Amino acid sequence: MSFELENQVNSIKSKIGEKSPIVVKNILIGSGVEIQCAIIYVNGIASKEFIDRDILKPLMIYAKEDFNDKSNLADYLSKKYITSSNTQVDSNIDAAINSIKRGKTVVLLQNKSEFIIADTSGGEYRAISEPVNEAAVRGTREGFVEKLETNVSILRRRIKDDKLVFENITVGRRSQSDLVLVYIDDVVDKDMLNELRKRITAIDVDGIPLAGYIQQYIEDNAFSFFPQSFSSERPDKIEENILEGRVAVILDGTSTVITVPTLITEFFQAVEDYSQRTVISNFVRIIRFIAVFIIITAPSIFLTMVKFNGELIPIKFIVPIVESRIGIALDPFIEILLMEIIVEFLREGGLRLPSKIGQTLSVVGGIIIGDAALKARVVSPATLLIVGIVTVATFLIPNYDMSLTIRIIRFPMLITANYFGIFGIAAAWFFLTVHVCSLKSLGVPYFSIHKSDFKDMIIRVPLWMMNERPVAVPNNNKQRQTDFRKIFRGNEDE
Amino acid sequence: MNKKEYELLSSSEVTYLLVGLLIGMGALALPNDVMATAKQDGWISVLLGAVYPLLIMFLSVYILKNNPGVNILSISRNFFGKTIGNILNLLFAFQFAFYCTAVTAGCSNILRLYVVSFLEPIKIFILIFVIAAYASSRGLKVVARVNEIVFYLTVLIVILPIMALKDGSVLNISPILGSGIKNIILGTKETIFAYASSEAILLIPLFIRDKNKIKSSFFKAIVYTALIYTWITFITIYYLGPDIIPKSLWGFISVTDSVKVPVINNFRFIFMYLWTIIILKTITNEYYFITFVLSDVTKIKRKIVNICIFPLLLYFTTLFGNEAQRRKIIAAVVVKLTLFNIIFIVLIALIIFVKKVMKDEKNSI
Repeated sequence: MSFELENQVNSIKSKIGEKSPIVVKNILIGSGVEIQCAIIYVNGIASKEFIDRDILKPLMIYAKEDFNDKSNLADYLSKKYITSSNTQVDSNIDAAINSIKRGKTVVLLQNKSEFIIADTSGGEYRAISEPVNEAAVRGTREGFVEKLETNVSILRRRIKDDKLVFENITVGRRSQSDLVLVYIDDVVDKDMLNELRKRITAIDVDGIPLAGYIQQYIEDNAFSFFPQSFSSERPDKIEENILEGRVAVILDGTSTVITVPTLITEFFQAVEDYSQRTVISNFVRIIRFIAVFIIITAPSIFLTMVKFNGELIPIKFIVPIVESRIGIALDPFIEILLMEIIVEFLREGGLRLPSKIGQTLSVVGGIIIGDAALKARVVSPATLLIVGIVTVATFLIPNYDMSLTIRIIRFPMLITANYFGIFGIAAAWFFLTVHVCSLKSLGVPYFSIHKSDFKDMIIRVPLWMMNERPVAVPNNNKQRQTDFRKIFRGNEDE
Repeated sequence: MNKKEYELLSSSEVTYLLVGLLIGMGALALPNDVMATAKQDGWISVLLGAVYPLLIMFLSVYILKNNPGVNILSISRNFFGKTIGNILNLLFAFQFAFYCTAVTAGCSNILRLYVVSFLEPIKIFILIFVIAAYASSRGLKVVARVNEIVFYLTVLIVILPIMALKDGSVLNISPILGSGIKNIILGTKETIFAYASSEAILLIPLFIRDKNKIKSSFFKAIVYTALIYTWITFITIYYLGPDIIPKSLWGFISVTDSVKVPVINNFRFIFMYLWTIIILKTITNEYYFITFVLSDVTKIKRKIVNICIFPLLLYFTTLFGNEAQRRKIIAAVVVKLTLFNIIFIVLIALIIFVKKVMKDEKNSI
C-alpha cells in the first residue's frame, strides 16, 4: 500500500463518506526539508479549539527540528509536541475511521504507515441538570445527559471500585452508536452478563435512537403490559442497581440508562425510600401499594357495586349515590369508561404541550370539563370522585413506565368487571399474578419470592440490616455490608 | 445463575404447591361435611384426616426414593406394561379431571349464590377454564410460584375471622370428645375431598431441585393444611354451633360475616373476592396435572393438550348441576377415587418393595 498522503486521505474520505463534513488540513512541519502532514476531523463533533491549541500550534510553530532522520516519527511527535492528553499511535486505517467518527482528530504523515489519533472530541452538549421527570426531594440533583462520556464519568465518580467495568459495544448498522455496559466484575453474574451481551450484539438494525429501543429489542415478552427492564435518568438509582449486581446499559445520545435484570418490585421503590427515615419510607411504600391497588381495582369495584351488588353499599351511602344517579342516561360502565378516557386525553395532551399551556389544559380539562359533565348529567359526582382519586393515585408510582402500565391495566379490569362482576375482578387479578410470575427479564424471574428479599419489598427494614444483596438478582457476591453497627451499638440493635 | 436451576422448584415452592393442591373449595364446606357425624368434635376429625395425606407422603417418598429420576407414570408403565400402565395412569389422572370440574362447578354455585347471581354458570366456567388453561400453559414453575403467593393470601383470609372468637361460645364446641371416638373417626372420611390431590407429587420428581427435601416439604405442607383446615372447622363450630351449621351450605362463609369493614355492608364480598383467587389456583393446579399426565401418556405436546381438554372439561362441568346434586356426585365418586389411589400407590410401593427384597436376596446369595 502506498503511504502517499493524498492516497491515505482519499482512502479515509471514501470510507467515512465523501459527503461527510470532513475537514482536511495539510500542514508542513519541521525545519530543513519539511514533512507534509494532514490533519483530518469531522466538523461539529471535534472541538476546533482543542485542535488549534493542542495539535496545530505545537506542530506548526514549535516543531522546528529536522524530522527526516526520525524513524518513528508519529510516536516522537505525539510524545514531544502534541499536547493533547489522550493520543495514540496506530497504523490501522479502520481505527482511524472509527476515531474520526467519534470526534477525534487524525494526523497523517507523509510516507508513514503510522498516524496519530488525538482526542479532540467536543461539540455542544446539554449540561448536567436535574432530571425533570424523576424529581426527588432527597436525591442527587444531577441527571444523566446525552453524552456517553459524561454519563460514564458520572458513574465512575460514584463508584471508584477497581472492579467496575465499562465495556464498549457498537450497535446499529448505520447509526453505529456507542453503547457501554457497566457492571462490577466480581458481583455480576457471568451467565446473565453473557446473555445480555449476546442479545445486544445480536441487535441488527439501522439505528437505535433511544434507550427504549434497546429495552424492546432485548426483552423476552414483547406483548406484555409490563416493562421488563428498568430505566432511569438518575445516577443514584443506577448506582444502587449496579451495586446490587445488575448491569447498566448506557447508549450514546440518550439520557436514559437501563439496568437489567429487572424485578417488578424495583418499579415501586423510589430513591428516597432509602435516604428517608425507615418508618417514613415504609409508610410511603404502603401508601404506594394501596395506590396501585386503587388504580387497578377502584373503578371496577365501584362499577360492580353500582351495577350488580347494590346490596353491599351501606344504606347511608346508597341514598346519595342513588340520588346522584337520577337522570343520568349512561350505563355506569360507559360513564366510568368515558371519564377515564377523558382523563387519559388530558394526560396525554398535557404531555405534549409546553408547560404553560399544559397548566391551562389541566384547568380547562380538570375543572371546567368535570363541572360541565356533572351539570350536563353525563356523569354522577360519585363516578367523578372515583376517577379523580384514581388519577391522583397514578402519580404515586415512582417509575414512568410502570405508571403507564398500571394505568392501562385498569381498562381490561373495568371491562371484565362489567361482564363478570366481582368474579371478573378476582379472575383478572389472578390472571395478572400468573402473568407477572411467568415473565422473565434476561432469564431471571420478574417476580419471585425469597424470604431474605422481604427486607426490601413491601416494606424496607433499616439499611444496616440489609447485609446481603437481593437473592432475586443473580450475583456472585452475596455480602454487601457487615454488621458494622455492632462496633458502637453492641447487641442493642435487635 | 444456572438457567436450569431456575426452572426447578425450590423446596419451599414444593411445599406451597402441595398446600395449593390440598386447600381449595373443600375448605368452605368442610365444617358441614364433618358435622354430620362428628358433631361438635368435627375439628378433631379434620385434624385426624391429615392421616390420609400423611400416608400418601410416606408412600410417595418411598416410591420416589427407590426410583430416582422417574415419575409414577413411567414406573407404572414399567411394572404393568405399556397398555395397562397407561390405562392406570389415565385413571390416576381422572382424579385431577374430576376435582377440576367438581371444584369449578362448586365455584360457580357459590359465586352465583353470593355475589354474581346475574351470571350464567357457563360464563363462569368459561372464564375459569380460560384462566386455568393460560396459567397451566406457563409451566409448573409459574404454577408453583402462584401457589406461593396465594398461600400468603390464604393465611390472611383464614386468620381474619379470628374476630368471630368474641362472638362465639365455648358451649358450641363442648363437650369435647362428647360425640364419641367412633364418630370422630368416621368423620375423617368426610375430609378426604378436602385432603385429596397431594398424590400429584408423584408426577413431578424431575421438577424438584432438592430431592432429599421432598419429605420435609411434604410434611410442612400437610401441617399447614391441617392447621388451616382445623382452624376453619373449629372457628365455624365455635361461632355457629353444631345446630346452625347444617342450615348453611358453606359454614365457613357465615363466619366471615363476623368481620366488620367500613364502607362495605359485609365482609362476604371481600371474602368471596379473595376466595375466588384461591379456587382459581386450585383449578389451575388440577388443570396443569391433567395436561401433564395426558401429554405424557399420549406423547402430544402439553400446549396442545392444554387447549384440547378445554371443551371436554367445560362439558363435564355442566353435568354437575346445583349444589345438592354436585355434593351427591362428589360423595359417590370421591371414595372410589381415593380407594383407587391408595390401591394404585400401595401396589406400586409393594412391587418396589418385593423387587428390592428379591434383589437383596440375590445379592446375598
